[in-house]
Amino acid sequence: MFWKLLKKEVRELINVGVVVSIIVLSIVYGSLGKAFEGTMKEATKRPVVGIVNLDGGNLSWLLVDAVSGVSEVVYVGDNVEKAVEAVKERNGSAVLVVPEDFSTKLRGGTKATVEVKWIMKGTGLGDTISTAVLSSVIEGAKKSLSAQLLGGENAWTILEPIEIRHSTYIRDLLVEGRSPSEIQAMTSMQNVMVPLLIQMVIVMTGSSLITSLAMEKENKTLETLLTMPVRRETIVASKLVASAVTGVVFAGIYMVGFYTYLKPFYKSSPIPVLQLSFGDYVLVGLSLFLSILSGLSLCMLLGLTSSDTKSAGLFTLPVSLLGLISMFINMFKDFPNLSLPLKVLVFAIPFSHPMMAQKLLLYGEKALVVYGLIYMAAFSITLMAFSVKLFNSDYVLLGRPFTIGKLIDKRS
Amino acid sequence: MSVVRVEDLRKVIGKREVLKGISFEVREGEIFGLIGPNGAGKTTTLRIVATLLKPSGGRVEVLGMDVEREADRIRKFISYIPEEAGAYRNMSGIEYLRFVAGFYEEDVGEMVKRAVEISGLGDRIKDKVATYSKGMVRKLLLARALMVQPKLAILDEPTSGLDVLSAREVRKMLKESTKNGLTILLSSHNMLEVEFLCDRIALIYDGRIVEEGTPTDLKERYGATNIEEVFEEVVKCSGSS
Ligand SMILES: Nc1ncnc2c1ncn2[C@@H]1O[C@H](COP(=O)(O)OP(=O)(O)OP(=O)(O)O)[C@@H](O)[C@H]1O
Ligand SMILES: [Mg+2]
Repeated sequence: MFWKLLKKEVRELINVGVVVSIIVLSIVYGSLGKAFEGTMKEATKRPVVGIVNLDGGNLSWLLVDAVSGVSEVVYVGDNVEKAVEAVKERNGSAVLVVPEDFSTKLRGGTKATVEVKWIMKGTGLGDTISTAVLSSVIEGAKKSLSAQLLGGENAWTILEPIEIRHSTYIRDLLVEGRSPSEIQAMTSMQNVMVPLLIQMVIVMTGSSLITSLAMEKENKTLETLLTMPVRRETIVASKLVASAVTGVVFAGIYMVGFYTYLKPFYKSSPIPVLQLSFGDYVLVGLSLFLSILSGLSLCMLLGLTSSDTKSAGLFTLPVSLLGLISMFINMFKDFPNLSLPLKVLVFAIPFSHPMMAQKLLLYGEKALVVYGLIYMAAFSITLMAFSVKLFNSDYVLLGRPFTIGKLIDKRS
Repeated sequence: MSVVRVEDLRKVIGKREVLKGISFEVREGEIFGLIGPNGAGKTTTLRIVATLLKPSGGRVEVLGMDVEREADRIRKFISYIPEEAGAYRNMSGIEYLRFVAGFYEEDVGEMVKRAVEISGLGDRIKDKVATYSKGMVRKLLLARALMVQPKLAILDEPTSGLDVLSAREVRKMLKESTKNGLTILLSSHNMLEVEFLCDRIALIYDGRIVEEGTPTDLKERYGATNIEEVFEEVVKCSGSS
């Protein structure tokens, strides 16, 4: 009985439009990720340069060596035009011109000049990146020259006397070798994306549940269904499970896109201590599941009050608003650092828990995560019981629960 | 044995008393019609008998079971069609029939075969419900209601929206079904239909039953040639009293 209803609900929820829009979005994210990956590869590629050495002195060759060590030199000689030609041919980025007086000036204690003739392919973000790489190549060459000019074994030490080693405590967690800004840069992506994704799943599952309920009401199929030999609990459960399953599948498709999108950002260097154990991931998954269930049971109640499909969309508003509140609070401050009233608020909104579960587990606040799970379970069970009650009452058809008039009438 | 027994039924919706003490009985194998002006309380009465709404007062029994306490058991024996009801639009007619048949204990194939025959939709039964006309949906719903061979069918305006010929077909079908032991409780605004179809009629006005009897009885009582005249007369009297 349950499976029949479940099948019907899932069929109702998975319509072509929704599936297509989700796949398209996923592909858009995926290809965005691929594009980013491309530009990042470009950024780490050795730049193609030509060098025109008009000086020929010791120091100028030192410069040439330093540059060719980290870039692909396609021309070394004394003809600027030929150098430009060669670099253009190889899609390179610049020609360095070392003037005649280069070595003499440096030896004489004055600043020397190096002319860089940039060859720009375009003004797009990806086009300028290889020039940025070349700039750092030149910076490196400058240091080599300074060291040479200073002479002696200590030259490098004098140039860079201090090296800083960062370690950061996040609450009780010690992250070795990372500065706060590095940690922030690495977690910022997930600080934004995870809540956003959760928000999306909850709104998506919720709105499909509300729409399916409203549709049943509009066509009076619910009224018919309720006179058939099916338990109310079965109807409620099938609707919840169907929306949850489809919501999770849809979110999974999004995730694939997101993952491809995020991969180039993450690949750089994962911080080992910032990773969770398998058991922790199970908790995070459970937290996500329970929050979806909480959202759905809330939407079930809201859906019961809507009578037509047009207004159905409006009813997800309170749910997404709650999600937004916890999303923004979570983005700006971690749960343990909130003031007490905000803590209560964030804890009370079920959607906060999966958003902060990962962080809390890292900080060793496992108990808080478990309390969250218990809270969400209690939250959804209570609301579901209430939904079943409503399904058993006149309210589901008449849309007016317990008016004062009726209460007085009952008493008299 | 009476299939439906309603005793002093009261129903309060919001602050208004919509049913003010209704009593009637529907006997096995008969077609019982509720007629009355808009807002009189027909749909409300039918919904209570169909276990959808709870009575605020009085007693309602279906097949000897209490509608409030034994709703789950009653649902095995009744079929209800709401006014202006639809079917799941993304299913085909036959899928809808199969879906509903799955809730009952009898063999699904048998039931669906019966329903396809009753519906008279032919090949269109394989099309999506969304492509059906109002009348076709109505026929599908009737087929669904009858295929489970209920003891009691509760039909809210069963022929509304049907063309003359389809309505006649439906009426014939309903009359036919009672020969196999089906009992029908229906509401209607079509007095000709009521006269042709119903063994007994109750006239509801403002939450009360103001007249009850066989069509012939009622016509005699008011010296009328048809039920429409009876209706007019009764409503006039009730309105002024
Ligand atoms: N959801 C509701 N909320 C408030 N009042 C309602 C509701 N549904 C019905 N009523 C009231 O109950 C009374 C009876 O309505 P009901 O639908 O039973 O009438 P009816 O005899 O079926 O009328 P019709 O011939 O128009 O179908 C009406 O006065 C109506 O206003
Ligand atoms: Mg009605």
